[in-house]
Amino acid sequence: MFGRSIALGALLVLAACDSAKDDSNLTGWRKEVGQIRIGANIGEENPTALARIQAYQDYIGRSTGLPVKVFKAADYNGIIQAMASGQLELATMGPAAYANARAQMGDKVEPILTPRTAEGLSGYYSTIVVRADSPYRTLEDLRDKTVGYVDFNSASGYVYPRWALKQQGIDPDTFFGKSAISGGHIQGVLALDNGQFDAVFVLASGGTPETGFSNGSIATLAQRGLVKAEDFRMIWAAGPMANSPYVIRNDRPQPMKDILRGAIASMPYDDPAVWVDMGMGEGSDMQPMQAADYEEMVAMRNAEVSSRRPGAGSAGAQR
Amino acid sequence: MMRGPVLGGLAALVLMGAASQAQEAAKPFRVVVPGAGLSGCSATGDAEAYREHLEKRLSRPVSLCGAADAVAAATALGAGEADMVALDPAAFETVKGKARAMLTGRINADTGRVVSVALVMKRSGKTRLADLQGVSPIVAGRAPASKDVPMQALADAGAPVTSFKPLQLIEGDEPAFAALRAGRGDLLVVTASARQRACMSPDIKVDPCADLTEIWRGRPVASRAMVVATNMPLADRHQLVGIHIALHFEAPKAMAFMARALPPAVALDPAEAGALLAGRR
Repeated sequence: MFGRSIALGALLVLAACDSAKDDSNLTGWRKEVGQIRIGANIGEENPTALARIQAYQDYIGRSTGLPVKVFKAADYNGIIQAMASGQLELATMGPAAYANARAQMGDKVEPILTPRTAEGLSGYYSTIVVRADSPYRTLEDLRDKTVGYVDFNSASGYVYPRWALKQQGIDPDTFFGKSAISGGHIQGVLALDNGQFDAVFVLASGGTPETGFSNGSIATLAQRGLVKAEDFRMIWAAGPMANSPYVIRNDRPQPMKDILRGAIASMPYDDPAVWVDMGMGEGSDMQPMQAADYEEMVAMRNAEVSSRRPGAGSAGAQR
Repeated sequence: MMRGPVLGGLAALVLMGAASQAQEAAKPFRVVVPGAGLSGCSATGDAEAYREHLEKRLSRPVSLCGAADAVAAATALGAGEADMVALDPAAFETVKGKARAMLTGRINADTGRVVSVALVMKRSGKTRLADLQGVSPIVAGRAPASKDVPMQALADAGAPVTSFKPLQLIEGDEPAFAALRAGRGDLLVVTASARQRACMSPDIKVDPCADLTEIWRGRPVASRAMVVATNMPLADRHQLVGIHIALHFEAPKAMAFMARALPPAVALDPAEAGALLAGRR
């Protein structure tokens, strides 16, 4: 229901832009498309990106020669629904959200790019984090304890760790005593800090379990001064999984798809200041992606949904 | 009263625009690649696969021709007889006023032309690359992206690297920064990402790296790049980038040709305008 209301809200926002399709100066594919509508999950967790979205819009507008509208949603459901109803050309979403979109839309959606670090890493990890002052040091210590997941559509905070635990012979539904959805990475960490959970699943990036991580949920909150990194301890990690993709509607004109992929991939080279202002790491860039790179995530999510709804078989209706 | 003539005029303009676009679409997009086994303009094998792929994606004819050398390719670009050419730094010098790099080869999945920085202690008083004579450099890891690429970029920028003392490999960003501060070396060469990570602070009034001076920042010079005219429309350049960076999985046979055009390349990356220019800060 919430997702639907966001999608309808998006329709209202985007309806105001339909006049662009009547622009008689446009020709060819530009006349067909009329505008570029981008969905982005850039809520409170990414204030820098939110503040700089105008520069991003301007950049894409200069490249495509079309008006650009960005649909900002607090969760992935609204973006997925807006994309499914043809209200978006492009969206950023987590890998599990993409798997959800793929289940609903099939090959009408396709991942085209994902961020890549200076070190060439284009994946991230799911971790279990506990309070540093807690007695928990191993996964076994969390048997029968209370854990917090992020969101059913979260790759690092739900789908991937549950799959990885099952690979280790642990059924998360019976191993942990109680579990709940926190609603977000930030909310999960703050709830852990407040003692509502014994452990939470959160993402970590910018490294490996061997080297340690320089980025992720804890690091982001610590940089914002909301928590102290030393107040937490990571006791389990699984991954890497492919980074969050830029997903495009596959039924749009090929020149538009190629230009958007080229424009976004060129940004760290053409306009590094905007790239960094957008919250992207200095020295990072974009790696081109394809559906095959997320096949494992799609399979994991389908398995997870099937296990939640016995007999359902598929994770969503094909549209 | 005036509506009729105005509408007629607008219609004529639209028709002229459409005709102009049709002419542009019919005009071949001309690619010139020296030293990749092309004989004249008759592409075969993987070269033909590349030409066909580009033609299909651009929806216009594409010609793919060889050239005697990179300077000849640059001359063709400069004379408006080619739209995209493969050049090396020396050939690029001859057209740098009216051309820009657009794509370079990626040597492996982990290693691109990463932005690197050179850091010294502020108290050292060093502010220029020329001040680095005889320094003891530190790098933060043995991976190519942490060691080889930053050191090559520094050399390309004109730092006196042959005078440097032996390189100290210190694994990890924090230990490497600590080593510089402890005086175990007097130059730290790291990726821009490593600098950003090490110098982050939750309090914008506090700069954890206030004791350091960044005396240089840049990417290594590309050994070869696909180059286009600087006045190429942005959408056209980005379309070409979008097509080429996915070649390795969308059209592997076409990528095999580009691997010869920009050797050694397992994939293609976008490039900044001056990727072929040496000595840039």
